Amino acid sequence: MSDINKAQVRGAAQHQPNARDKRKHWRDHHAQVSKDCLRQLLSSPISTFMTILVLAVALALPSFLFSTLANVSRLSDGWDTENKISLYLQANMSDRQVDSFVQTLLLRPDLIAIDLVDASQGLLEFKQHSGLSEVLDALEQNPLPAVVYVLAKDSSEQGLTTLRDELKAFAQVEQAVLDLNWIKRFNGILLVIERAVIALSVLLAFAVLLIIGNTIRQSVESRNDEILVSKLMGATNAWVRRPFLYSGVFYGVVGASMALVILEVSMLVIKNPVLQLSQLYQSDFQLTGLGVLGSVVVVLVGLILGLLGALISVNKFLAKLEPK
Amino acid sequence: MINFDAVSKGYSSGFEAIQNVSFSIAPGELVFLTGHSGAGKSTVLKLIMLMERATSGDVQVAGRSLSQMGVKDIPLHRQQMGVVFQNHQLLFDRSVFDNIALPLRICGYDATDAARRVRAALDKVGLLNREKFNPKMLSTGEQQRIGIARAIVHKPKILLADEPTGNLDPQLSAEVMTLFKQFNQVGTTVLVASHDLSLIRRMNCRTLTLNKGSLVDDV
Repeated sequence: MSDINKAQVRGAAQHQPNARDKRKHWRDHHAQVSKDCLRQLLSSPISTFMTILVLAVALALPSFLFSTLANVSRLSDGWDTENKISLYLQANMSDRQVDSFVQTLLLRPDLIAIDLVDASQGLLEFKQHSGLSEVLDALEQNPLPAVVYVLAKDSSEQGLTTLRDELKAFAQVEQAVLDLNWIKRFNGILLVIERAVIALSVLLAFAVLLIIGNTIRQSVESRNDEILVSKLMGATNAWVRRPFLYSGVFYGVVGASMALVILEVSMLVIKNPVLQLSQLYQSDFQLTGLGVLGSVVVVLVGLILGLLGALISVNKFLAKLEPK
Repeated sequence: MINFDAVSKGYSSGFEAIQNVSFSIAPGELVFLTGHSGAGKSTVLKLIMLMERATSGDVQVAGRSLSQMGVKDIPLHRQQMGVVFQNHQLLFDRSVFDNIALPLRICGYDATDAARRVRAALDKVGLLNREKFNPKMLSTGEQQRIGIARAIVHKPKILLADEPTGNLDPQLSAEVMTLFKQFNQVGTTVLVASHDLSLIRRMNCRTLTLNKGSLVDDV
């Protein structure tokens, strides 16, 4: 009995590696597994590439829509802060009357700036831009009124509307125009599109999750024997999961990076037409891509979806192996 | 080392694999488990490995009650055992060396230490020159010996074998049994399930006999 016990003690002492070995092994195992996983993915390059391409398209679409949306709303940002009210004065006012009206406006504390375009100046500009100079020359009288553009201090919609009504009440003012409505409509439409893009993105993220999950599930099933044997030898679930999580992350990150490439190429393709269009409108608007932060977010989303997809697939498989 | 206390295992289909089985195996013992196929031999091994849980009664291994072990305790529980399977369960996508190294990788041995242990195990089963082969290229007897090398490479406290001589001719079977005896002599507790009665008789060891799920003999 005592001999047996001694042997037992010796056997037990040799049975487990020490803690330092284990830590080193843990690091080595990660390095080994990531290398193995890469080798395995590259051993069937076409199917791996196809999967990545599908993921890239699914990730590129929402990224493209989001950056387009960001561009368009950047365009309307300029108008949002426009707190300009146009005052069309009575056509029969003399220059002196116009001047004195402008003087009264200058005294108002709720206006930041006042710009007068008098009737003759207005006519000149109109002739230049409209190409109707001959027709206008034929007219005996200048048909245009003097216009005063005022910038309000208060840029809220409420404040602007009140101010417009107040200014409209002046006898000298024929019409006061505050063009808020179409900006409001535009922003409304933008909001609807934004929601639609978010819904679409959620759907596509789900698709990415399913694609990665399914790919990993196939890979788990093809390594069924290895997993069963490893589990019987006392492999922890984390140990079994590790290579598959690496694969999932690989698919997610490479897919997302590919999506960024697709996005850059699309932006390059539409860049010049957009520039031409904005020049036609005398705007200095330029397309901007996702930027560094946006790109990091896309890659991060890819990583998380890859990790999650793989985790769900492997865990489903491992749960079946628990003793009942 | 292994303790069965009135253990039963039933399935939802109503089939009772083993009923009210009690026995105790001391540390360092070599015990055979025999009976016809379907008598419950594999179930006993599965319960010890915690591949399945008992419906009633208690199984104790190395002083710990398995019914109290959670999912998180199973890996360490299995790491203290080595298992030889009937169909050897070798992985054909890697070399003999990598097959045997698998338990060491799982337990977390350092690579150079692992290599040394793998060669020692291969030497013990007399197949040191087969290290780089794919198991597919080996004969059935050699494959079974590789399976044994893999079971003992991490010096387990307990060695379980399920029909280890199932596909082997008498001479190879005798060699395998001699190997088990050698491991037992260095202190490993060995439990071998086998229906090869003549072989068991020649080994002259304690034998548990199961019949239709009940323990009928313990000599």
